[in-house]
Amino acid sequence: MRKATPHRETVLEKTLPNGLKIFIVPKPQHRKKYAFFATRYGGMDMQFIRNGEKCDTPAGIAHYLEHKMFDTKDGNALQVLSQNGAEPNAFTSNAMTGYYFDCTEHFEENLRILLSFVSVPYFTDESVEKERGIISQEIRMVEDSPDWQVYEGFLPACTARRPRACPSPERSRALRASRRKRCMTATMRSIARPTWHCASSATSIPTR
Amino acid sequence: MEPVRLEIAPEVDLDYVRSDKFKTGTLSVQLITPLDEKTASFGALLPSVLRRGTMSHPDMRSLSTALDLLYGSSIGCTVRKKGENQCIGFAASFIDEAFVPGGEKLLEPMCDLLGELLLDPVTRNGRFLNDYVESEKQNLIDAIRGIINDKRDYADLRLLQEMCRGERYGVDKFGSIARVEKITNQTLFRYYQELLSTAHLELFYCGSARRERVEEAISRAFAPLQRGRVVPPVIAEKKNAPETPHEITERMDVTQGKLSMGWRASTNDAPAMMLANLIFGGYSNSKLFLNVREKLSLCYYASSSYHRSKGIVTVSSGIECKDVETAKREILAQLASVQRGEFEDWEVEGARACLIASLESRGDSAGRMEENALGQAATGIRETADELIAALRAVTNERIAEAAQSLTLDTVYFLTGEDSRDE
Repeated sequence: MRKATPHRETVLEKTLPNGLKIFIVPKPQHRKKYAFFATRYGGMDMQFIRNGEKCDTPAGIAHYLEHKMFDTKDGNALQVLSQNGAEPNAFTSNAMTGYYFDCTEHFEENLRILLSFVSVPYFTDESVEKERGIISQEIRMVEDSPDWQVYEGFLPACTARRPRACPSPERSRALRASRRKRCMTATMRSIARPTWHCASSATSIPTR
Repeated sequence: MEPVRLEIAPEVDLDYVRSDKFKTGTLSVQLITPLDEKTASFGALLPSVLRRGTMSHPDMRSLSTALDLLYGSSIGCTVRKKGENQCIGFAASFIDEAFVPGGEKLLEPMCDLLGELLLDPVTRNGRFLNDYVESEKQNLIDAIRGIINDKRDYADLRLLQEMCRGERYGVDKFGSIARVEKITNQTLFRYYQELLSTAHLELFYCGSARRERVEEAISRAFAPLQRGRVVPPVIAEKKNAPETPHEITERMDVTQGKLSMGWRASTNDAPAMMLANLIFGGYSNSKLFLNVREKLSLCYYASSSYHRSKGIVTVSSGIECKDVETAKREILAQLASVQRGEFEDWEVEGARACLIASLESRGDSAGRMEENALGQAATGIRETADELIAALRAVTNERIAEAAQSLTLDTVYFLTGEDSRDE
């Protein structure tokens, strides 16, 4: 572990044997505690190689996965965290997915819940299907936002290859294209395997 | 961590927080004036005109240099609505003196600069500079025109305008384009002089400096303030809902419909109403989130807010245009279940934990403490975080249901992309 102390701050850093990097910033005077889990998988990661073979995934799947990772065998991690007074949330950008919460009580329990739901996928056809309406509305919301439209129009203009330009709350037509729900669930199960969603690509920053 | 409230002069108050946990100091100067359709645009325009230059720093370049020499300090204009008052002024941010080389002082020069911005603007022949007034008018008009770019904010604003028509609460903090266009240098200057003499002045400081030093620096910087008869902030007027709720549908080229609904809350039991609102739609464990979003997949967001000072509750949601009736029915059904007291222990305790966590962590943010201190000064609701936490802990399920029962639907606003000819 290494300590750095610029301007009264301490950063504790450690890399676990599985590659997970952990950064801890103690803030002893603050009541609020905050933890963030980041993984190097985002909207532009649409193709990957498994067992020597190229696999393509539908546009929008990283964002879809972010929503569905909250589902657990016992229900939904979002609800359990909320019941503990925590404020959980997540986002997907082009190159990463981030899950986080802040709270004043039950920090360790909340951290355990966070680390558990981001590494244990639990999807059913029904729950994957149900999410489609929610995500479609999230996409339609940003379709009405001029700022987002400028950003979305700008990316393809400055990148040569289409996948790099695929923004995170990807197009609803790509989602609609993946109508066959069993196919969607199966694809999500395969990309939610540990190769993607934990270890070497994730970072965690709990405080205090 | 609660601010200490100090009277600097009559109707000039300072909320002082001593803390060494932040690396930047915060200093805010706010004039509180009753929100009024006729003057809101004047109030919204004034800080940005004043921010253009003082007698000793008559232009943006000179002001920027002064701030750069104070280690990149910043001063921003603020226009806020608190209850039925408009709060306008400046918020300054500067590095804590512990990080300044050679023990240089920043607090005094920052106070002086804020005092100058408010009390000693650059003038010519007893007026502001015409260029400044005209260009800031255009900026304000652009800002008002830009509200429509965020359809969620726009729909929520339209709901309040329609629901609180004729009330101060229905006036937007920026006023209106028509009002801004009519402002002249002369009328703005007259407004400025009157505001300085009659508005309550609220200051906020959070940083590592001792109390005596802050009081002295502020007293000196604001000594030239000439006061007349001060108009105190107004207490928001509570109204009853009409017998039949207003229904307004507006059409625009949008892909997602925005459904906003507003209720009047006649209860005075604010802690119970806060919990009822949380259970109904106030966070990610609420009935709206779990049912309208998670169960029925009708939306990405459907949330409720309790406007405590005014005694209203509003719901904001983004839905498929064709689903409006289903969504409305479901939102009303979820409220009805709160009114019948149909909530589990986990719902109540989750809501309570969420509110308490938010109150407990208020002291972690100078910005939130400033917002809260200003809100208390403007609305007259005085309570510490600990007092409110204790009050929330004492609320029973019966009181929550009773508070929810005091809600009466007033207005439904729907922004849709569907053409009426298709219906």
